[in-house]
Amino acid sequence: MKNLRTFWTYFAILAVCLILPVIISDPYYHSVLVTTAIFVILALSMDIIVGYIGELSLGHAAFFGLGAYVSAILTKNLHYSFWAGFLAAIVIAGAAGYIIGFITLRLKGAYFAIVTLAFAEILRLVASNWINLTRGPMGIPGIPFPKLFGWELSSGLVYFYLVLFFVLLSVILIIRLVNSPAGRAFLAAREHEDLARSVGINTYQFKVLGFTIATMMAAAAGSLYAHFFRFVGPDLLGIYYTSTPLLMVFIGGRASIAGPLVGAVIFSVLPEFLRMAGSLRMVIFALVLIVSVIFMPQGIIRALGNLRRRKKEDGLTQTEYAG
Amino acid sequence: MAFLEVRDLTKSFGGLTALNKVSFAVQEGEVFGLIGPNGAGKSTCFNLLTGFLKPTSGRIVFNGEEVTSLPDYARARMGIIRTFQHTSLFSGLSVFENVLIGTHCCHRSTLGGALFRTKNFLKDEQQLRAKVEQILDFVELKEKKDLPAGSLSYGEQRKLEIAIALAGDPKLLLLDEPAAGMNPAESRKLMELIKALQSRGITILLVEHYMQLIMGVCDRIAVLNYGVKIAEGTPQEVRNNEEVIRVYLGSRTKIPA
Repeated sequence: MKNLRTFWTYFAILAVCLILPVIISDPYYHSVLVTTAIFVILALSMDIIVGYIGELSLGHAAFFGLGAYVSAILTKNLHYSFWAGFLAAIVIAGAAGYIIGFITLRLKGAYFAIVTLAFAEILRLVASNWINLTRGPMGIPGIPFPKLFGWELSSGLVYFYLVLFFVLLSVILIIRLVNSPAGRAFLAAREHEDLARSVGINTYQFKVLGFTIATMMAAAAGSLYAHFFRFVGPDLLGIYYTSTPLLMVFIGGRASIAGPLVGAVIFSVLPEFLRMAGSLRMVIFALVLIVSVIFMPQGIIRALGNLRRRKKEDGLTQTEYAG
Repeated sequence: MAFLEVRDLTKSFGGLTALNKVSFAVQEGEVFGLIGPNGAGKSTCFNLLTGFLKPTSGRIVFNGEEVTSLPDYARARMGIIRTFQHTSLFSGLSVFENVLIGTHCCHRSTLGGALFRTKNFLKDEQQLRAKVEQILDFVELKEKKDLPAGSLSYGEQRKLEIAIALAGDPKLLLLDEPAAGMNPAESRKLMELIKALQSRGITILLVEHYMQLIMGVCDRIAVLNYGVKIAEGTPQEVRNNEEVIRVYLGSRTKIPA
């Protein structure tokens, strides 16, 4: 029965995602939806690192931005198709992620965070200064829209469905990964590294694997971002694209599918709602974040789960008294 | 050749020699005890055997293969699986998940198999889940399988540790003070468990302070003192060894049977 309910929950969420953009006709809100979906992918990939393998990456923007730049340069300058650029972005960022992970995941805790932070900063400086390739701070405008069977995906509505497809793919990837020996090895390495090694898990190797997969997903998100906004600049490698998915994961709840999803939706939709508060918008938003972190340190998803469990237990004791 | 052969194993930490040219051999199918007063080098020896420490010199040969320089996880894959002195669990995960992680090396499928959910992957997964159920049944934790490991009682947690180790199909199981903190009733149950494991064909190396347990289950015992092996033999021989009585108990009192 529980499985059936989970199925219907997912089904309902998917149905809302499919219908919502049709009901909302304003192109501005279409772009909000697309951004939200891209951030969902970015947050899901961040969760592999901070939730499952239990490391703190402060350089996720490096792989998001790298994906965006690779895709932009290949399609704009070299006239490759979107799909070739998209795949190349994933492969190149994945290779960079593998190298960074291979070198730094031997380090523990803060050292790993510092190296990833430095890597993102180096890439941002390269993008700002390698004028011949990236046009520096001016960025690369006019990136072509993706084409699917010769049909240009130029409207926000259609683009949203494209991103939604990759969101679904990411969710399936993570569910399957987590429910496999590799995913369990991630959790084992996070929970107790020595014990994990004592049952034959090469924890280092699995951390590198998880980190590489996460960087590939971030690059996919970056490529999708580049082809929707049709502009990339050094800002995409800045701290905003690291801190935002990080906050989304922490506010939603780590090591889950629902956590980053909810986190990303709240983060993208709430500021839009708060527009009615005028100039106080960001102040209120910051307050909401602070309050949620103080009262729900495990994230919204787990706080809700605990609430439901407590209600159930209350119900039980009441019937016991009645009996 | 013996199942596990340790030759002139030495480990120095800076100027301190924790283990000095210790040699012994464990035969297949026996329960071998390693005892000694605090600081005798038992834990060091244990960590060297499992690869958690690298020896300064000496050799370790397991099942005819040299394992001296292999990393810890690679030894676990060969069947050398350990438990820890301080309770070590994946405490945030469920009892079932804990043991399932223990089966890691038994999975033959690849990452691609897992992502595309191939037939072989699903078959492996199903077999391993059934195996986890069996192990939980064996250590009497089946009813608790969905609880978080951290919520178990102390005795149950120690049983779960052994269950995790068993999930990896150990050929040589190393138990580091499994009875630490157990009451006499729990220790007696542990003794039965160790004998049951032996009858399943698992060779066991045991580090323990609790004499009743050591004397009750071990076929042979080696005694360490200040990093040197001072005696080896059956419980009977060790119990009557003058030197063991002198260094281990510091007086002429007899080690209880």
